[in-house]
Amino acid sequence: MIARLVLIGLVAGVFSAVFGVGGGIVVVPLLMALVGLPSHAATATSLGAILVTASAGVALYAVRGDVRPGYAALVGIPAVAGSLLGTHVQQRLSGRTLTLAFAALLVGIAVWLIVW
Amino acid sequence: VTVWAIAAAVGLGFVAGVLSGIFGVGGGILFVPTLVALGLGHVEAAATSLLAIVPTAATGAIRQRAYGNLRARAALVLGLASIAGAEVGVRLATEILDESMLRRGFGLARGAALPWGTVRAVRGAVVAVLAVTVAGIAAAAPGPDSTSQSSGSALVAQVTVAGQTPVGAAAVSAPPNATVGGPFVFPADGSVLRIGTSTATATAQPGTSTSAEGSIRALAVSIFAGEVVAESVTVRAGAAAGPAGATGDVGTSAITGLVVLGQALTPTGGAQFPLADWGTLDVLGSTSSTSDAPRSAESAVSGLKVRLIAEHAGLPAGTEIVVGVASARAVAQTAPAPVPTRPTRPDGSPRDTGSAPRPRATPRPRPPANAPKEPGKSIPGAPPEVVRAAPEVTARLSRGGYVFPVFGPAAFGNTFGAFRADVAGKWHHGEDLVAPAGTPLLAVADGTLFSVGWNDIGGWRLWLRDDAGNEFYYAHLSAYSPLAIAGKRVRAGDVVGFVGDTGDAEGGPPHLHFEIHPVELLQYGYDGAVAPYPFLVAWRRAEDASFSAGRTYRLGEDGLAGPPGAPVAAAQAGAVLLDAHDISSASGLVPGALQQALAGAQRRASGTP
Repeated sequence: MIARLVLIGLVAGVFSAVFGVGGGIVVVPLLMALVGLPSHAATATSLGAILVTASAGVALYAVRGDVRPGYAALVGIPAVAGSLLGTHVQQRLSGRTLTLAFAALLVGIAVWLIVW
Repeated sequence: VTVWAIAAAVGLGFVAGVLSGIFGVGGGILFVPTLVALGLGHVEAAATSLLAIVPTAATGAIRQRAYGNLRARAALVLGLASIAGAEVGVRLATEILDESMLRRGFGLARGAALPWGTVRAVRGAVVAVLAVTVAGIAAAAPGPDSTSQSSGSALVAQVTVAGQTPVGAAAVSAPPNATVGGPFVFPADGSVLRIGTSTATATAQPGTSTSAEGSIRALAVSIFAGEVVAESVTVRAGAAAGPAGATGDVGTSAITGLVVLGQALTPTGGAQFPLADWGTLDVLGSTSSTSDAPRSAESAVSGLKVRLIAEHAGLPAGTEIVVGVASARAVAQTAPAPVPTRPTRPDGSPRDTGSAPRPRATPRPRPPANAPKEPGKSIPGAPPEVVRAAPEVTARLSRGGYVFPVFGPAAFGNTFGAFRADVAGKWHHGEDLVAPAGTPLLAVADGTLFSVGWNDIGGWRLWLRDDAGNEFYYAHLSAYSPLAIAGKRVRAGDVVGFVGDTGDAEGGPPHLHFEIHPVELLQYGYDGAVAPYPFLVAWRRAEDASFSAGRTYRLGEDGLAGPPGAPVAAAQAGAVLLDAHDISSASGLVPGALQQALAGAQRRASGTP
């Protein structure tokens, strides 16, 4: 299972660097398809992985002086509140509903990526 | 930057957070355009977006951990691999991306190989493929009828005065998992109910295999200013369900130091005692129901329940005071009926050490590819990929000079694999041998001790590896013998420690938790365990205790501290025994000993020799 996790991580990293879209959008479907995690566990684990990569990324950018904490707080603090609401809502969804909703989200993003 | 732009940024940030919480994405897809719109450069926007993602993802991950969904180790591996992948990706991007992409948010493009349209189409197509994959998973998943459920709840105390709303203390229910506690009095002067301190915990673990537990522990309980008193009330209800079945469990509930109207009582489950002419006391009343299809398991238990049948202490008849209520409920995922199959042996399966030739099994029909997991292959809380069927083991340990691990009377059953909320995998990896505190524990075989020391679950514990490589785990010890040193050679029957109730056994009956990890299964780690029951039954017949082997040691040797040149002395092993063994309630003194002692005292008092 470790090998599959490493593979998923590598693919997500490459994809986000090359195409500018990544993280959870790639990790969640691959966790469900390759590792067989249920949708709730896949989204939760994706958040954990994003926490690791984002923390590392912030450290690198901060050294270069590109990080603007004020702006980060402006969008980040409401996002924390939103995240509390989102996880709460997610617990009310069945695994199947969540999976279907994720598929719908991906379709929307795919269309947006092609049209944009 | 106008007020409106800031308001829009706050709103978009909130939306990004909601998406992050529901779908497990970072939110960068909304953060970056928002920050660019606020006037940040592309690189700044990307960097600042990462900083906003950190608390957002952390919040979601922490909440999900409480719900039992986060696989922390997998997340760490994924994250680290993803950092490595991004390194590779950056190099790749500088090779294949077009200068014009800088405008579109790529701070890293330098070379020029792929036109923008191609990049756009490729990434859109990849996401579209992922969408189809996810939709396929949703279509293949069992229908909405089959979602699993789990809920646990616990309540420290509740007073229901007849005709009034109940007043409760420290109530929790899961999900999410929670713990509350503290002292409780009712009313303010504590004349009806006083609880020194308490904790109530509720956990629920949803999934293909689902489990739930509610538990409370209340100390120093006094009802009606001392008319009903208990030192501790421990109440636990667990329920687990999986593809193979469902079980409920209230077995570890206990009440100690119960004194009713000045009389000490032994609490037995389901007992009811009269309280003079004014009420009744129910002790450890429990219900447990298990149904099979659709799977279900409910169990509930209440510690002390006082019911008034006449007015008492200013409260009317019909008033009810309950201390310690726990309940758990688990409804399994009703996947299609499982096809029973023979457990398969993994590669490198243990060889048959028995001498009798085993009859060859007739070939079984192969299950269809989409057949559900076979019974017994799931562990609550573990993803199905990491669960394997228990291999068949036929090693015959009883012939190799093994001895029973407890010296003297010990009671044990066959609870291997039963639900246990607080251990890895949530199943009982061994067997509990109940014996009085201080009963000597023996090495089951010649071998070497290791991992001697404290563990929060096992308490004072030790491991023994025998000469064949099999490993044995002893937990909840009250004391070690002088032999109990990591790396020490012991012989079968050597006393290595004494029965106790340390670790998570604290407050329960003293017992030895004993596990057998055969050498052939060590590759499976802690889960490589077999049911000790048949071995214990076989070993019970031979108790070759050899106290002499472990009786003496020398100060300054064997790793024991001692000043250089200190006199070499024999160990006072008896002192260790007395330290650990409560003999206050023991009977069977030498006949006449008490009379002799009293006679001696009288002689001394009267001055005669």
